[in-house]
Formats: sequence, C-alpha cells, structure tokens
Amino acid sequence: MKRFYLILTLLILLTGVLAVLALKSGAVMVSWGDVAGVFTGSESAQVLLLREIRLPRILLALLAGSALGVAGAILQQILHNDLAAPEIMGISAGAGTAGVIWLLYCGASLQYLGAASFAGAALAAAVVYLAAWKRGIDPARLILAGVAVSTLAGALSSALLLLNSDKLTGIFEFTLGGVAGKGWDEVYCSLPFFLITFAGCAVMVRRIELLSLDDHSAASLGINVESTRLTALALASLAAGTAVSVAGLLGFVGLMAPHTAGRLGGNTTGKRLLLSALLGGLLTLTGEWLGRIAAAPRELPAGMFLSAAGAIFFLTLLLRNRREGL
Amino acid sequence: MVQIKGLTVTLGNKKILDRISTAFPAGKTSLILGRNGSGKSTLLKTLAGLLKITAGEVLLHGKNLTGFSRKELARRCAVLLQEPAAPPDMQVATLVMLGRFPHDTGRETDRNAVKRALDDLGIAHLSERKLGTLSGGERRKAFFARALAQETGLLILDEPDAALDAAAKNELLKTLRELKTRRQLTVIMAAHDWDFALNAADFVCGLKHGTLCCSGTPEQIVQPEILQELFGISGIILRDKYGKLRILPEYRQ
Repeated sequence: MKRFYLILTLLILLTGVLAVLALKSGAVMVSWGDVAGVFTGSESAQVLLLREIRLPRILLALLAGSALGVAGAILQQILHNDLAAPEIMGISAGAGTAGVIWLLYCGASLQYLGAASFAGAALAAAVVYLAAWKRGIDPARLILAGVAVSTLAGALSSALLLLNSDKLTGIFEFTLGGVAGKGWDEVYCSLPFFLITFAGCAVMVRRIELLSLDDHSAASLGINVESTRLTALALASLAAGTAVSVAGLLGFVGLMAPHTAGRLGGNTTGKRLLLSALLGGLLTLTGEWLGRIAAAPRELPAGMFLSAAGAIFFLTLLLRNRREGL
Repeated sequence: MVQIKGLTVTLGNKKILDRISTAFPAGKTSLILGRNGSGKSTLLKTLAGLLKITAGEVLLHGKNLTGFSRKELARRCAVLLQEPAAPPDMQVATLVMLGRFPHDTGRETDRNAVKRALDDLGIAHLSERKLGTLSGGERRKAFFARALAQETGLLILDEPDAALDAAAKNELLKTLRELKTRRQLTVIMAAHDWDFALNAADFVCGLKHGTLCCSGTPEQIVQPEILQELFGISGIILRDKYGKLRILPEYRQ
C-alpha cells in the first residue's frame, strides 16, 4: 500500500515537472519568470502565449492520454486479455476514420469533430461486439473482430487520404496524433466527455473488477455480465473517442499505460485505473514535450514519439516474455 | 431448503439434466454423486442461477429462483465453481473482497467479513499474496474464501476438495462441519473423493446421464449395487474404527 502511494506521488510530481517544462519549451523562447506568470496572473505577451496556446495543449495532452490509459485498462480487465487496447481493438481507428471523414467531407469544422470521433469509436466498438457475439462474448473472438475492424478502418482512412491528397493539411497531423493547433475551445468542448468518462470509471470500478473474473463467477456475485460488459465497453469507447477527437491517433498509449500500471502496483482495478490515467497523461505529455524540443523551432506530432515508444515497448515485452519462458 | 421440481436443462442441443426432482434439506450438507459428465456441475450451476432452466423449477425457501434479481440471489447463495478464473496478479484479499459486492454494507463490515472468511479457512497469512504465486490448493482456498465472504445461507461447492492434499482435505472437512454449525449453512456439493464426500454429507443423491437415480442418507446410498449402477464398479463398503463409511473399490482390494 505504501509503495502504491509513493508511486502515485512520484507520478503526480513527475507530471507537474513535465507540465512546467512543456510550458517553457517551444518555438518561442520564454523565461522562467514568464512560466511563473501563468500562475500569478501576469498579462505580458509571453504569458498570454503560454496561457492561450501552450497551457490548453498541455491540458489536452494530459486529458487525452489519461482517457486512453483508462480505456486500455478497462478493456484489458473486461476482456481478460493483455493485448486489449483501443488501438488494437479498432476503437481508436474507428474514431480516427470518422474524424477523417468529418474533416474531409463535413466542412472540417473542429466544433463537432469530437462528436464524430466518438460516433466512430462507438460504431467500431458496436461492430466488434456484434461480430464477436455468439451466445455471449468470448474474449478471443472479440480481439479477432477488433483486429479486423481496425484494419478495415485503417484501410478506409488511407484510401480517403490518398483520394484527397489536395486537402491533407491538418488531416495528416490528425492521423499522426498530437495536440498542436488545439486551444481552450477544444478543452471546453471535450471536458464534459472526459469528466463523464472518469466519473463513469469511479462508479463502475467494482463492476469492472468483477468482470476480470470468469463470467459465471462474476454472475454469481450479482451482476448481469453481458450488460455490464457492454456498459464498460461503451465507457472505453467514450474515453478513446474523446481522446482521438482532440489528439488524433496517439499510438499505443492505451496499451502501454495499463501494462506499466500493472507492473507498478496496480493490483486492484481502482489502483490500475488511477495509475493508467496518470501514466497515459504522462506519456502523452512527454510525447508533446519531445515534439516541441526535438526539432525546435519546428514541431513534430506527439504521436510519432508515442508510436516509437510503443514499438520499443512491444520489443521489451517480447524479450521479457522470452526470458520468463512464456 | 432448496427444492427442484422436474428440472430439465439443455445446453446447445444436448439435454444435460432430465426431469430431476428432489429436495436438499436446510442446514445440512447434500452431496451429488455421479461419474464425469453425469450433470453434477450443470446441476450446481443451475441451482446457483447461472444456467437457463429449460423446464421445471428451482425453489429457494419456497420462492422460484427466477423471481430473484442477480444481486438478491448473490446475497442468498454463494458458489465455488470447479475452475474459477481471476487475474494472476490479483491479491487474495482483493478476490475475497469481491464476495462483498452483493451486500451494500459499509467498508468496516466488509473488511470484517473478509477477515472472518480468511480466518475460517486458515489463509489470513496469504491475504497479500498474488493468486499467480499460490499453489493449486491455496488458490482453491482463496476462491472458497471469496464464496464464504458472501455470508450466504446456501453454499454450493463444485469439488471443493480438488487440488487439496490428504491433510488439507481433512482440514477442509473439519472446517465445513464447523462452518455449517456456526453459520447455519446449507451446503450442496459435488466431490470426487468418496471418503471426503461421504463423511461430509448428510444427504446424498446420485446422478446418471442427467437423471436422478437415487437419493437418501449416505448409509442408504452407499450400497454395492448402487455403486455398481452409479459408477460401474464393484466394491466393498466398510466402517472404520471411528464408525465412518469407507468404500473399498475392487481395484484396491
């Protein structure tokens, strides 16, 4: 228990430090005094730049990353599969494809991009769920259906981008993932969805924990397994869809965060969800910060770094499993 | 009291239980005997409300099982399944605490119930261990503790003795007797170890190909001809120096 709280404190501190670093870093050089000015109410031009441009991006990176971490943790728990993640199950891809369609054919309005991405995520989750249904949901079937939907959504996105190569500005960044160009409008529009997601997790935490048991054991403890799993799946879709709508396709945050949370002491669902949220936010903010400093004064999308980290994570996982003889 | 009337359960196209009628007495341990595939686990799962009843009914304290909500049923009936699953990194205490889900009691009451369950099975020292690090027998006890933490009047056990060594079975037998008296439990179970099962049981019923072929006290049921019919083996029935029934199958004579 002590170790858990120590890790929790360290992660919060690390996130705070990184948030300050992300405020300071970017194409425009600012002083530490300007960074402090964000919190003291200073109105200088540099402070306004930090408050109006960098601060909402930091918040969005944290929120989107946390939501993806939470979505991954929920999916891994309810499907009894360590590979279950919004990125692998087609939920992020569905949200991304819906986002691309919205940006290409529906006036490119950012205002409703969130709703479009959530609709895509929910549709992908519904298709995966229905395709995997056969007198109940078998976790292995659900993962297979997820891979199929993910591939299909990815192919559709690629085809749309190739057919509309003249309109790629903004959309290309969307598929790479990142919060560049996002501001307070996106924060205000997406915040209710993020809050619903986090509140939903708090309400459902014990039910999600029950779903980590076999279906008969879970049912014997007083829940309707199918409807609870469907609700949890909808919650994960809402989390992933909202995250994709503000940050595009951030590679593998939903896979890396819950795995790492488990290793760091997330041995109950509540702890795992909390640590996954913190780690997801931290990972995405790290990607966002690296994107600003790696090729300064140019910016690179956070998703690029997260995909690279995802690949290294996979290889590490593979090597560790081989060492452990799994 | 659990009563079943004309119970038929079909899974897929296969009839697993066929028109079974019997009554399991309250406050007693009932044993379901039968060969592999005779329908024991299906019967236990149906009694726990986990499988759909094709025909007939199950009455719990006179009320049809289908009349209970899932949570209401979980407050009255706990079940230990044959092969329950949980994440290997889940701690024993967390697993046992899940048994408190059906109850809307406070955290302190829940903690006390978990402690009682762990103490009753003598596994309090394992409470912080992860399930993946336990032996088969310890794991079995952890799941049993989860069922006990539900603090129900009816306990359904599908092979509670599985993965336990002789000493642990003996211990479990004592614990079951104590629990039955102290918690006024009605226990319905299936077990493969005859010595264990018969010495724990007050009432026995035998299943063959999904039909009930006998029921009564252990003394009434443990007869050479019934053994022959239920299991297809011959044997001798003995009483040891403590007056306990012992079955000596032909292959061990």
